[in-house]
Amino acid sequence: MALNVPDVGENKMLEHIVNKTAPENLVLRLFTNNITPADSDVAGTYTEANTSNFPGYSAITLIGASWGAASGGTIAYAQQSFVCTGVATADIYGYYLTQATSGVLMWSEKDGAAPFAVRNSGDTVRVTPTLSAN
Amino acid sequence: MSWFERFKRRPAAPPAPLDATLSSSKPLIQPAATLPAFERMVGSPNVLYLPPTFLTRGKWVMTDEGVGVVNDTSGANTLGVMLTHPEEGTDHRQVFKPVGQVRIATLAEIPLARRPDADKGRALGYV
Repeated sequence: MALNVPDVGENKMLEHIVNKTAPENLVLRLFTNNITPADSDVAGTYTEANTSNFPGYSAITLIGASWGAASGGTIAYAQQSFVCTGVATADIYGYYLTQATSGVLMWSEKDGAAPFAVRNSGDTVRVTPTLSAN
Repeated sequence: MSWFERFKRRPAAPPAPLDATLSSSKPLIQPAATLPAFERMVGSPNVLYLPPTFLTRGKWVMTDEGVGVVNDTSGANTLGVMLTHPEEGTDHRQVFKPVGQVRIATLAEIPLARRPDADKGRALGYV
């Protein structure tokens, strides 16, 4: 399922393009509420997984310099893994990215095969952050 | 005939009478060869064209089965819509509807849990 850039994320991206505001590192998170991303979404729309329902869970900061070079209208980051370390109850519906400092929602994507039931130690959710412009 | 007379200008021919009949192939007022590109775009909105361009992925819409979010625009004349719970905004059921049967949702129709404030809603086209 294609990702969705909400209005707040679009505005941030526009400000970064014209150098009105400085970009920030992004934080990759998993969400557990069953929603389809919409243009009116904000970070608070999403219920983030936590160590109670997903032992070992921790949001992952994506360092700006570690992104690959943009090519063919696409930029990507190395695949990231969220590994469960115990008995879990989380149902993962997708991921979302926020700015590290402002907390603004930049984009989100629902897993087309959601939910992914994380139940046992070793269960893993892998995400390859990728953004395309066309 | 003197030398001078050989180069004497002939009197100008009388102007051709204007042809103002409806069958004239030369209109009296010629249309401009080109119009500025921007002017060509000025006009009343093409209401048949606006809906498919405005109903993009992520938009809140209303269908005959309820409110939802557009999540598939790959069809030629259909839209994929994820119907949602009317108050919580959580996913309910995937449907595909003809474009003509889908309209942008009003602000009040967006599920309360996911409804933007009035100003932001208006900026996004929800009134």
